[in-house]
Formats: sequence, structure tokens, C-alpha cells
Amino acid sequence: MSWDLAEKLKVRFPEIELFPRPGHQPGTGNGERGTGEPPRGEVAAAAPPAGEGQTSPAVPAKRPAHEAPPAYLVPGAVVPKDKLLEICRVLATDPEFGLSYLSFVTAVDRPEAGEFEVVYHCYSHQSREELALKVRVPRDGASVPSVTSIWDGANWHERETYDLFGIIFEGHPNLRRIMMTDDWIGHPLRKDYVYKDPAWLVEVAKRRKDEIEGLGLGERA
Amino acid sequence: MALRTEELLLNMGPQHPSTHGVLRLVVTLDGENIVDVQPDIGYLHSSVEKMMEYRTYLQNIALVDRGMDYLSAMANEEVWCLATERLAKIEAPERARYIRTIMLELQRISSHLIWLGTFGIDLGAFTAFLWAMRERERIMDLFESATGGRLHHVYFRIGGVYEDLPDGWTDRCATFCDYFMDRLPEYDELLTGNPIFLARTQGVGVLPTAKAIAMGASGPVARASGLAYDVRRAHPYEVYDRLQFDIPVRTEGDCFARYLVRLEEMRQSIRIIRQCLETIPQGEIRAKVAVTLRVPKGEVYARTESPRGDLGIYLISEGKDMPYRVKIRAPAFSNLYALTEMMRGWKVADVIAILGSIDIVLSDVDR
Amino acid sequence: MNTSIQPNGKKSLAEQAWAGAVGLVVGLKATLRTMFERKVTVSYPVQKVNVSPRWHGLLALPIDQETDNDKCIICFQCERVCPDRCIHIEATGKAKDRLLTRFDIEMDKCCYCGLCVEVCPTEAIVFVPHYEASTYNRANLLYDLDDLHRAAPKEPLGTGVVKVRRTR
Repeated sequence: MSWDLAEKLKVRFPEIELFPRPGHQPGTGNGERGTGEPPRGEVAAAAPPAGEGQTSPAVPAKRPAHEAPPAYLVPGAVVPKDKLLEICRVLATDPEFGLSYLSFVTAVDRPEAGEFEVVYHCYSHQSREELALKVRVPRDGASVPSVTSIWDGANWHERETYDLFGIIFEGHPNLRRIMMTDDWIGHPLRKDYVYKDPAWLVEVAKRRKDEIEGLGLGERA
Repeated sequence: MALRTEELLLNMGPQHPSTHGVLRLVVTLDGENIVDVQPDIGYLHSSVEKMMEYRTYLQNIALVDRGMDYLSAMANEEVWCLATERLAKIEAPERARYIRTIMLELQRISSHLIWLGTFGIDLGAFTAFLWAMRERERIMDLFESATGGRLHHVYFRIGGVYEDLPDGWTDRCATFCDYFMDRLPEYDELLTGNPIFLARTQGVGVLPTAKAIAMGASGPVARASGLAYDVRRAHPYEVYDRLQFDIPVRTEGDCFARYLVRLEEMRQSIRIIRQCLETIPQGEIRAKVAVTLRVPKGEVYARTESPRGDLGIYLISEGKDMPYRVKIRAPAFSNLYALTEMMRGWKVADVIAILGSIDIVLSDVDR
Repeated sequence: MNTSIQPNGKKSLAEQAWAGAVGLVVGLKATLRTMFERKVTVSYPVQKVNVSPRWHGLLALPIDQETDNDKCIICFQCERVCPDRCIHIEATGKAKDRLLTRFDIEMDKCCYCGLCVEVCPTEAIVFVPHYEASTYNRANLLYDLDDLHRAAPKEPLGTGVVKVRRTR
């Protein structure tokens, strides 16, 4: 795994924003991965005992590992929505990148920021390089252009993301629900999704419960 | 005078034994020829990704076991533990990594045996199914004595494995390897040289290399189409980087090539297991990890080679004891998408052969 | 349009027939050989196979001979770690005088993952090698403290007589 492709992409499209790179200080040029590693790794491995902070207040208290700044162990970039198709086409067709294989498309719900992050993960079988792309779209009326014209395999992945998040993929050939039934209400993987039985199911369940109670099998039957 | 014909829409499934689970195929037929196939999935959708957001990292091991591909539970545990370990920067001890590799390869054989049996049944060869089950039973016994479970093991832990191997397990495993290598030629006799089997599979359901890559196919399906790619070789995890094994590749891209690739993979798995049994070190099997592990903030994509292909997990942690978001990249999901391409233009009788050859598990497709 | 049966299209009919006959003989030879091998199956309700000592069977709180009680120290760890939330524990009293008043396991919810056995600090909750827990009534799958002490299925179905040792 290397960040070379992400750097190359940044040169070609300056408007993209690379993921924060682990162990990479902006001042130290293209520092090798692992050399400039912040002490996060040691903290995670050694999990300091709880009492340590109180006994030696002079030393700045070690922050627990889970409060450290996020570590992105996958190279990638946040791209603007209107540039997505152009960038994807370059990634898939330009021999310099050659990312001809799309691993998956998915989304992440960030309700506090009021946006979805649509994640694309592409891969090259030749150079064995990977690159993740993120597009930030507002939660209301979220839509991104479909990449099915570039990677055919994105078809079902985009349908799944539409189904579970409600993100519209513009230009998708067949944007229907794929996992849930066609009459499903809501999009289950959103963080604020609450499941509610539809009216007909409530009625059926009640009728069935009455039937079972009529058999006298006890309440847990 | 041209005969007036019209296309026929045929529903196969969702409750049909030959669809390997609850899968519905909407087949458009022109006479006996397939014009189009639209797989309709989602009957087994259990929203594992959502459930995983409400379970701790330890509890999720039990969940990925059965929520994902139930025929290769070890592979699911492996990818989940791998993703968590990478993000939490935990190293599994040496012995645990060897044990994991052995278990993964045993799981690969057992999964391929199920596939081999059901593929035989799909094509009318019932004996292969019974024999495959007989061999698989021995692997199940090995699993049972080491992990306590036959199908769902919950054996891998974040930073190692739960228990050490019981006494004499390695000897029994070596015995199984010898036994299995004796048995494999029988499948050659029964299926590989069988003219009926050849007629049903050779040249049927061809998937070209370019299409396989574009459609996201992976695993044996892509390798049978000429894509020489295996995650175990490209991005070695556990101890695969120090083992000798070949990656079988065929260029035909038909059902028979997929069959041969999987058969050869079983031989290679035995080879891997034998090397592991020879060099497995003694020592610790589990790193010290808290029960309620809080994984540092970050994002990671872990990929493994499951029996069905490129199985990955994209894990996003927000520093809590539960993951913020988990994306499971299921191999069978993408492989099934390539089905339409494989089937177009073949006869209705080939539907079952082609569907059987891509080895789908609907629990993996739907998750 | 492709036709499916065409791999040996170049061969004549006689050659195809010969290949078919050879295939039949080879296949039958393999099956015949298997016919004279030892059987690998057992006739289940009468014969039973032993399960391994690590078998994830029913859960139990076995009675400790010394104290004449189970080893549970009411730490609620198993209740917390259970992914299916099928363990329900209630206790009265404080500190050392705590008394277990309820320890229910809903075995119909249990996924046999063994995490409760793993986290238990005193090895109070264990797996027992029973595998015939099926019953005709779902209420029978709620195991309370007495059932867990008894460490046996509520409604044993099988009445096997011969235990078969696994030879491999």
C-alpha cells in the first residue's frame, strides 16, 4: 500500500483533498511510512494503567489510544462531486493509474455534519495499488453521478447504496431497491433510521397472535 | 414464412434447491435460448452492517460468523479480526498466525467440497455430493475438536485465537491431509473424465477476462477467466508470505475451468497446511486485548482471499467500543453480478450449470 | 447462437459412444471400490457419536462439590458480553452477601458463541456436551437456575443406547 497514486492524483487535480496520512508531517517532504509515526502505536499496544495519570501529574497525561486523531490506513482523497466522473475516468483508463477494478461503493452517514460520504474503493491488479475516493454530499436530496459507465461492476453496489442510504445515483441504468422490498419505507443504514412495522404487518401479526392463543400453547409458543 | 415467436419470462426460485439458497432468477427466454437473466436478491438480507454498529468488536466475531458467508465462517472471522487488528495496531503471536492459516485453508477445502458436491448434483452426478460430504465431515471433526463448533466456530479473537490446539490435533490434521490427497484422484475419475460432465461444462458460460475485471469478479471465477490474482499472494496476511503455493489460473473462463481451478486450489491448500504443520512454532496464542476494546479512530480496508474471492471489510472507527460503520465487500455479490454476462446466449438447461459454477452463498450475497 | 452440447463435436458418434462407455466404466469402478469400504455413517437415534470436549453444547452452571453451590460470583460479565442478550441475571443483597435470585438463559436466542464461557472469571458457566436440546414447545427452551444446575436438556429426545467412538 502506498500513497503514490494519491499524490499523483493530487498533482493532476489540485482541488482534491488527500486523507490525512499516518506518520506524515507536511514539512518533512515525502517521509516514508512508519518513520515519522506518532507515538499512537505504542500507546495502543501498551494501554497505560488507569492510575498512571494521577501518580505523575508533571508528565502530560498520555491520552488513551482511542482519542488520538484518526488514522487513515487506506490511501485516498476527498473529491468534489462535480469532478468525480472526470477523476474516475482518468483513474480507470489512464495507464498511469490503471485502477480498472472497483472493489465496492458504499456510503457513510454523518448526521452531525449533515452529509453523506460516498466511498469508492478502486484497485489495480497490475500494480496492486489501491485508492479510496470520498465524495461529500448533503444529506437532504443526496445525489452523486453514477460511475457505471466507467466500472460496470458498480451497478449493484450503487443500487445497494441507494437502497440502504437513499442516495440517488444520477444516470444509473436501473436504480431500484436491491436488498429491501420495493415498498420498503426508509433507508436502513442511515443513523436516524427507526424501524416501524407497516400497518398491514401489524394487522397480520395481531391476527396470528390471536390464532396462536386460541391453540392454548402458552404465551411463549 | 417466418414463425411468429414471443419471449417467455421464466421465474426460477426463490424457493428452489438448484438456486443454492433463496435466489430468484428472472430469465427471459426466446424458445430455449436465454435472452436475459436478472438475478433478484435480498431474500436473505439481514442488515449485518447495521447490526455490527451496535455490537462490540468482540461480539461482532460471533456475528460475522453467521451473518456473512456461513460456509466459510473462519474466513469471515479472519477478515474482521484483521481489520480490527490493523486499526488497533495489535499483533497476533506467531503461533496464532500459523493456527489461523491452517484453519483458513481447512475452511477453504471444506467450502470447496460443498461446492463440488452441489455442483455435481446440479449436473446429475449424485455420488460426488455424498463423497464430498464424507470428506468434509473429517474437516468438521477437526474443527469441532479445536474450536467446539462445526459451522460457526467463534475461534479467532482480535489478537490471536481463543484456545490452543488440543493434543494430537496436528497429527490428526496431517493424517487428514494424506487421506484427502488419496481421495482427490477419485473426483478426477468421477467427474473430470466424465463425458457427460464435460459436455455440460466445457465451453459453457464463458466470462472473458476483461469482463471479469470490469464486473468486479474475483476469486476462482476471475482466476478461471485468466486473471492471475490472489490476495494471499498480492497482499499476504497471516503467514502466507513465507509459504510455497501455486495459484491455479485457467484462461478458458468456462464452467469447466472454474471447476478445475477449485480442484487445484484444494490441492494447494493441502500443500499449505502441510508446510504450516511442519513449521508451526510453540508459544503464545493470544495477545492481551481488553474485552471491551476501544479501537482508535480511523479507517482501514482489510482484504482477504475467502473461498469465494476477494473478501474485504472497510472499517470506520470513531474511538468507541463499537464500530461506526462497517462495509463488507462480499465476493459472491460481485460474482453474481457477472452471471448475466455468463448466461446470455446459452440454453435454459445451462442456467443451473452456470449458476452452480460460480459458487454463491446467498448469505454472502445479501448479508 | 451457441449450443451447449458441443465439446466433442468433432468426434464421430462411435467415438462419442466409446468415450461415454469408458467414462461409465471408470465411474462405476470408483463407486464399486467405495462399496466395499467401511461405512462412515451411523444410524442416529440408536447410535450416537461422541462430541469433542470443547463442544459448544448446552450451557450449564454445574454444582461445585465443595460449596454445594455454583461458582457464580454475580459479576454480570456474561450478561454484558452476550451478543444476543439472552442471559438475564438478578441478585439481592450487597457485596459478599449477594444471592443469585434469577439466572435465566433463553436457549432459543443463544447463538452458542461461547463468549460468556470465555469471560467468566470463575468458570462458573460452562458448555456441556449435550446436543439434543430440541423440544416441541418453545417454553422449554427457557433455562432457569435449576435447569442450569442440572446441566441436562429439559426434554431429552434421543434415547440412544450405543455410543460410537469416533475413530479418527
